[in-house]
Amino acid sequence: MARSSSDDTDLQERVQQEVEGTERSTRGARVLIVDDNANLVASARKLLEMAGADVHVAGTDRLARKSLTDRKYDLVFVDLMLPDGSGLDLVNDYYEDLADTRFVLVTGHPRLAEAAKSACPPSVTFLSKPFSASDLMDCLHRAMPAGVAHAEVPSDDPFDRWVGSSEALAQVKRQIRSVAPLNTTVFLLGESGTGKELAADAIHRLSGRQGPFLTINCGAIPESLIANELFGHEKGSYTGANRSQPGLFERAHGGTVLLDEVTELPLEHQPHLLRVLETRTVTRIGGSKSIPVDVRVVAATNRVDQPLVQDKVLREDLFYRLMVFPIVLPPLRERTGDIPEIVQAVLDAWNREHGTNVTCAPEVIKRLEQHDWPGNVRELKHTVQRLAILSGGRITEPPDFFDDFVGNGAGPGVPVGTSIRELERRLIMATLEHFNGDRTRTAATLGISQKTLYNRLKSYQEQGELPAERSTP
Amino acid sequence: MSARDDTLHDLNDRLNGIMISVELAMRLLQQKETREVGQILTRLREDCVVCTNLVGELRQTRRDE
Repeated sequence: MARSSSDDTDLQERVQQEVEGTERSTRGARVLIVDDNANLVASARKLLEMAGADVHVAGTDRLARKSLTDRKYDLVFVDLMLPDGSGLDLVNDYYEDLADTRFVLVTGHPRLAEAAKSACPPSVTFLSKPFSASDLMDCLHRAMPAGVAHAEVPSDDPFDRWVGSSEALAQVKRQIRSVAPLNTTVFLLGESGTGKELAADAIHRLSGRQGPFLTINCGAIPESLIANELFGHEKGSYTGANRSQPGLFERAHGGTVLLDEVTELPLEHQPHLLRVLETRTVTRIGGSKSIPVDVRVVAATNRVDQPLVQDKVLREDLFYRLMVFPIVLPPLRERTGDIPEIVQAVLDAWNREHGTNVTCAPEVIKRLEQHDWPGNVRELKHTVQRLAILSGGRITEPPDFFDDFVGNGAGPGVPVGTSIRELERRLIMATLEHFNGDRTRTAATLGISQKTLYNRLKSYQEQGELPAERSTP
Repeated sequence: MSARDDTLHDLNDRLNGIMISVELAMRLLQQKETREVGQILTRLREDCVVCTNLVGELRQTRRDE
């Protein structure tokens, strides 16, 4: 029977919905593959990741035991014959302690499978080689009952999106935990990209407030509209105000408001904000009634180095009202030790989203740690994503930006008093190191001839200014 | 297990790897991920050579027996 195009469309939509439903149910499933067949493992891993699973691999019994001790898994595929042990022993050793984990024992020996079945707990599944991609997916779906999708379930941890274990970050967390349960106004001070919105979100989640968490960027709303956004208006208060509308504070009743870039709020509106903070009431534009609001206010600014009152950015009274509990968010350059973790977290998210397996070479991470990151975590995140796009599965080249040299002391951070000659020497050495001693690329990047580069290196050698490993110009 | 059994097991393992990789390549091809398909095919070429050698070993063992 001939099928109409609408039938085809319906079918396609149903298939798409089914696929999406499947991905939702397996998204975030934590899977461990214990097998030493590299090709099989690589392809199985990719297939499972395409279904949204978070896949780890262990090639030996020893590594598998370490993985099972370190992390929780929903599903573990174990090859019966491992290079340094038996998969059967591995399953038997961990089966009782990991009641929520489903084990699948994989074997290419039908006779061994029969023997293993008798020595295994009944809940262990057996998969005989050769198995197909759909067999693999069946195991994944059986291990993930409908509705169990880790990535979809909001985490209880208010700091679940915070990456890093530095003391600077730990201190911020401590401050947030201390102030969150109170109703105190919090002022977040941090450069762009330091996580002010994450901090405000954590304060809201830890506060126990049941209302919504609403955010407004005071710098992104035209001056003429900001008061309307914050305080709302009454019907007929101005031309076109056909009906009354509540403002941000009313809509956030029972919750938290983040006033991002509060320093961009026009001075003329600052007394109104102060009044809300002082009286916990709001008066709509064109209205005369004070409406009580129960709102926790968190304000934020990226103007960290500016005297806000002296420069007339904030009224003095509002400034002191906001500064009840200031929290300074550290810039990334003050917690460079967190960079490897952040890079890994960005790559993990990237790989999950795109079904890839991009990794980053340690030497690239070292280079990233030397950069100043004026755009902080946001800049690092976008840089890593850009490198992931350009990489062929492994990031081996650092980003090609001028500031690479800043970490080596040749950038704007060079102390006053440094001679031009010294600055030039540092820049040349940093560029040479960046290109692993490739003089052709170094000369091309610096815009000088190779002869000039040779002459400079020769001169540095004669003056004893060349590091030992570069002593042959 | 005899040496022949070991070789058979190894061959079975590798053929399964090839089978799964081909299925993956087909899926990636549908998504027009040709670069990844190319990488898989390169891996497969190496595995196919190993498998051919293993089959040769098995045939030789049989002849010897």
